[in-house]
Amino acid sequence: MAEKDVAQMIIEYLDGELPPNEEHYLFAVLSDNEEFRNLMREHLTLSRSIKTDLQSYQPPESATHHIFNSLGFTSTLPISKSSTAFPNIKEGNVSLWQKVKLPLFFSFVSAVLTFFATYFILNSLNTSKVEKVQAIVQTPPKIVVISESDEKPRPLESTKVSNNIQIVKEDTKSSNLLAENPTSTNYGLILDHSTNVNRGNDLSVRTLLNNKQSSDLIPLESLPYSPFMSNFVTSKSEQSFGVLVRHLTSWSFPDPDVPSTLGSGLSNVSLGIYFSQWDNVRFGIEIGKEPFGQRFKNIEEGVELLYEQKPTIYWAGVAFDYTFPYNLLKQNYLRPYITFLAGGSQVGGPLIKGLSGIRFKPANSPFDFFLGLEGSLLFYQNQGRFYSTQKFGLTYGMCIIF
Amino acid sequence: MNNDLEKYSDYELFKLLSNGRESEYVFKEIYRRYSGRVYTYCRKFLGNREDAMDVFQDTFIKFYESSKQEREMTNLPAFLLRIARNLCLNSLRLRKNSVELKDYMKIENANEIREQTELLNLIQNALTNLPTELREIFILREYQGMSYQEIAEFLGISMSNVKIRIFRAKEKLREILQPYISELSKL
Repeated sequence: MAEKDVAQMIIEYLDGELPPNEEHYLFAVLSDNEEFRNLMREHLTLSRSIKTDLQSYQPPESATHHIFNSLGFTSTLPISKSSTAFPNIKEGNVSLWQKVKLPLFFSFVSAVLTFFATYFILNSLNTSKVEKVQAIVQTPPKIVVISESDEKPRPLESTKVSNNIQIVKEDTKSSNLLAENPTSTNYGLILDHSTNVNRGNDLSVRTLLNNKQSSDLIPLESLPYSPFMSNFVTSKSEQSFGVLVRHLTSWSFPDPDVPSTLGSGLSNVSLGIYFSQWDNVRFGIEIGKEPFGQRFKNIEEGVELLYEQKPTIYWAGVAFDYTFPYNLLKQNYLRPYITFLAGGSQVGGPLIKGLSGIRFKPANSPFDFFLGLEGSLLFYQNQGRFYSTQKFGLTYGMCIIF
Repeated sequence: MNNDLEKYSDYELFKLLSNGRESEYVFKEIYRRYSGRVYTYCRKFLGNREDAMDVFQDTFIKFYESSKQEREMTNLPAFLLRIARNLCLNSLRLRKNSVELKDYMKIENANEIREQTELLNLIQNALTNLPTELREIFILREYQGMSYQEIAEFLGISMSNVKIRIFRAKEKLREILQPYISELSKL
């Protein structure tokens, strides 16, 4: 056979395509010819080199995202099992447990930390305030006028109308009042119908409880704000649970100019369950879903590439919520609040959220509406590097208290 | 449903996709199975990463669109590669008409080469210098693992033609790379 035919047979043999009846001829030629043996070695080396090259080609994540986005699929996250980039935000074939296990882990850690922090903080509040004689004192004090009719106020003399209600002069110093009632543990206000002006009176806790039906009584935590208020009041109430739902409208930093990859179901929403044993302190668990802009670097085929995406991410965390015990305006039940949330997300890193705003909760109403600002800080990892995303925006929602 | 799809054959998956049942999950399963092969094909065929990505993306989008048409699917990866091949050839035609783009891509390649191992880069470079019909058949054989018979069916050419083209492609590559290969083969 011609030289060219032997070279072709070598290639066919290495490809497993040489018919068996031609193999004997090829081996005979090879055993006799050094040049052909070298040729075979070279082709073998080439084939081996190519086989090592096979492992390095996987479609880039951005291409996967583009395809899924173009087809209108809810998830644009990579699903290639052999892919190593962004293994932590795969969604396509990921089970619910895989989605929530990281948020739950971070939530558990946060819960433990928050529990101990809350325990010590509240413990110190309770010992320092509830057990002492307390009052919200306005300076100059305008307290203690009672009127049972629309007539003019009675003379502002100190009059004891019952064991628990005492009328004192309008200009009496609150400190004196307190000194005269060392056994009182709490105070409230009584509305003066005659002048329709909110005036104060000292009431024991028992009196407040006995007069719950009276529209004259204003709960202690609803006292008007005074810049001279010496203490925040953490009055005890019955245990309560609340279910919270809120909408998140925020801007992401970085904010890549790519469409957000919405997962199935609602997004930009958070659901929570809160527990409270105090009137203005509560804590709970929140689970949410919202898009986070991400900008990170990937090394693919030896080239460093910058990626941008906006995946919708599940998160969960433990929240500590504090409502300041005073109204911004008299009797309108508008009170400022702050919330701190710590948890985790399905992209593996911790998530921190801080909220502050205004809460509207009429007395004795199970509904609690709020509007505020929210800041978020999400950490995530890709190819061994840590990145973060910040979000800032509005949040509003309601909590139903049981 | 998602996890069960791994057990389905290509034929069954395409049937589900055609019927529009769980199409998102079915498509993703097909993507999971063959995206690597298709991307490697595009990457090797076109040499340039950006072009390969474009063609790769278009391939799967066109595949999804064409899955809505009534057809009997006998070889899903070959079907995908056929779409990719047509798009690659189109891309090469466009590239020939654009000198500036070609120059730009060369620069891109030059940047990538620095990062990769020497021999693999040489193979890739040598591959891009092969005529299209030889490069294509080499990729199908070496990177797609197709048999000669499958290549013949895929390209619609005779077996003897396949053998000759593969021989020419490999010989050409060996000649280009000989200084390196002969050194390596002695190790």
